Amino acid sequence: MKFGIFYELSVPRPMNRENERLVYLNALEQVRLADQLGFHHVWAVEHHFLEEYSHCSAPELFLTACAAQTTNIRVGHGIVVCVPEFNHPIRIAERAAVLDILSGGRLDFGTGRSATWTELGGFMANPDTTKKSWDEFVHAIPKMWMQERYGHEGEFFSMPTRAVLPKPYQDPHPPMWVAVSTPGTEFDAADRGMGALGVNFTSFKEQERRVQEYRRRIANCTPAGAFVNDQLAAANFLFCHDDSATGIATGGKMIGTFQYLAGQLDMAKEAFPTKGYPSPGLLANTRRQAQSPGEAGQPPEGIAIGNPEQIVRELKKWEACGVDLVNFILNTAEVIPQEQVLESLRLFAREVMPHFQGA
Amino acid sequence: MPLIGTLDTAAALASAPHVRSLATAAWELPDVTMVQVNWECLHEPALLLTPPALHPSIPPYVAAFAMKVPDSPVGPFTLAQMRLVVRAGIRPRGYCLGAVCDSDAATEALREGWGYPVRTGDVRLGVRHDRIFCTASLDGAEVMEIAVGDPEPIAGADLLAFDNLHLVRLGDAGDGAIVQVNPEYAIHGADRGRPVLRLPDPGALGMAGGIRLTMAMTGFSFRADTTLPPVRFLMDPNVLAVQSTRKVDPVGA
Repeated sequence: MKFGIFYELSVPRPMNRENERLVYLNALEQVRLADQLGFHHVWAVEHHFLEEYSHCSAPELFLTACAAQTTNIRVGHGIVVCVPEFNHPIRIAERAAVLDILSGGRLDFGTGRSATWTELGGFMANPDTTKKSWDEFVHAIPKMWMQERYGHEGEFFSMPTRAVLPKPYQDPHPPMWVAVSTPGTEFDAADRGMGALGVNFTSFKEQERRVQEYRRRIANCTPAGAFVNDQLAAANFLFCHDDSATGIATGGKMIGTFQYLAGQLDMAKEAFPTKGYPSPGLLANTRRQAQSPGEAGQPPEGIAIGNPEQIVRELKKWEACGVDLVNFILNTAEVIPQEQVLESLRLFAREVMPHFQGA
Repeated sequence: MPLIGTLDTAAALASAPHVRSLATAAWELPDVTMVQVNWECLHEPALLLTPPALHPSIPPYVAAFAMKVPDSPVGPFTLAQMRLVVRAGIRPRGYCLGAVCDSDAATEALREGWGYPVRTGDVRLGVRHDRIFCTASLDGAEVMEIAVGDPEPIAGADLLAFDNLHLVRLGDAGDGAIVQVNPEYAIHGADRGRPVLRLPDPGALGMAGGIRLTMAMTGFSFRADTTLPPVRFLMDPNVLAVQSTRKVDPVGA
C-alpha cells in the first residue's frame, strides 16, 4: 500500500492576502518534504467559492508548482470538474497535458463533477446533468490526447476536427481516476476502467464489499481511455506523534475543524432536489464518519492519528481491505503549526512507512 | 471559524412568540400539501437577520415554505413561512423569520406550542396542472407569493426537508431561546418545477431592513402525512449552537 497527501487548501479567517499566501507556501513546503520522504502522490482538489474550507480553485497551477519543486512524487488532479460551465474539455486536456510534460510524466488525472450547490449554483450548472457531462468528458479527453486530430459532436460540447496540443508526456496518456463521494460512483469508475479516488469514509466492512465489487466489475470493463487503472485510493487524516495523547488531541482538532468547515457548505441535494446526487455528498460523508466517537480517548476507527504504533494498526485495516493508496489531509485552516505538520510527516516516514510494502 | 449572525436578539425578542411550556402534544397531520421555493439572497442583509448562535449558509438563501393542512386538532389551516437557511453547528436549518396562517386557532397553537412567529392573515394554496402556488396576505396586503411552475414528478427520496428554528421567549420568565421544530414526513409524492417568489412587503415577514433576492434556485412540492412533535432541542440565541444546544427533557418540559 502506498501513501499520498491531499490538499483542500483551507484558509482560516481572517482571509487576508497574507493568510492566503501562507497556506500555499506551507503546503508547498510539505510537498517538498513528502517528496524527499517517499510519499507517492500529492493531490489537489478543484473547488470554488468554498469560504475557508477550500481555496484551491486553480489546482493545475498549484500542482505545477509542486512538480517544479519536486523530483519523484506524482502530482494528481483530485479532481478536475468535468462540467461544461466549469471547464471546457479541450482546456482540461490541454492543461493536463502541459502539467504532465512539465512534471516529466508524473500526472495522475482525477475527474469529478462537484457536489455543492455553492459551486454548481455559482457556475449556474444544472445538478441534474453533471453525471452525464462527466461521462462525455472522460470518454472524449483521452481521445484528444491520443489522436493526432479529434472532432466531437455531443450533448455537452461539440468541436470540429482539430489537433489538441500538446500531447501528454506519458504515452498513451496519464492514469485516469474518478472521485468517489456518493455510493455507487466506484462502480462507475470500475465500468470505465478508472481508478477510484475515495474522498469519503465508510466502515471497513462496507469498504471491503465495495472493493470486491470494484475488482469484479473492472475485470470486465470497457476502458474510457487506452488502458485500465485499477487502483483504489482512500482518504484519511494524518497526525503522527510519539505521544499518543498528543497525536490524538492534535489530530482530533484538525478533524473537528475540517468537519465544521465542511458542514457550512450548501450540498447539492440540500438546496436542489435531484436524483443526480443521491446522498448529501462527499463532505457530509466525511464529517459523519469523522464524528464517530469511538472509545473514550481513542481516534475513530481507521483514522491515522496517534502514535506510530496506533497508526500502523489502523492503516493495516485499510491494507487488508484491498486499498492500494491512502491519501492524507495534513492540516485544516492551519490549526496545526507548520513545524508540527512537518515533524508528523517525518515520524510517519520513519516509523510507519517501513511496515508497508510498496510505500 | 465560520461567520456568525449579527441579529440584535434583544430587540428581536420583543416581538417574538412567548412559549410558556414546551410540553406540547404532538400533532398528526394527514395528507398535507407542501410547497417550497429556494432563492439565493445577498449576504449582508441575511447576516443581519441571523442570530449569533447560527452561521449563515454559503451562499445564503431563503426557503419560502407553505403547507395546506386539511385536518388537525384545531381544524384545517394553511400556513406560509419565510425561512432563512442557516447552519446550527453543521446542521442545515430553516430559521423562520415570519409566517402567516389563515386560522386564529392554529396561529395561537403554533405560536404558543412551537414558537412559530406567525400572525393570522389570508393564505391560499392551490394545486393546478400547470402550477402549485401560495399567496399570503396580512391586513389585506399581499406579503408573499410562491409558486412552482410546470411541475414534473420527482422521487420523494430526492428531497431533503429542513427542520425549523424559532426565536422565542421561553417559560414564565420569558428568557430568550431558539427552539428547534422537527416535523416528520411520510412522503406520498413530489414534484419539482420553475420557482416563483415575490415579497411585496419583506418587513411584514420579519425581514425588517429587507432581504435582497438574487438568484432562483428551485421550487418543489410534496404531499405527506406529517407529524409535528413537541420541541426536542433548544439553544441560547447568543451562544453558538454547537456549544449551547441541549435536549429538552420531555418530563420537565
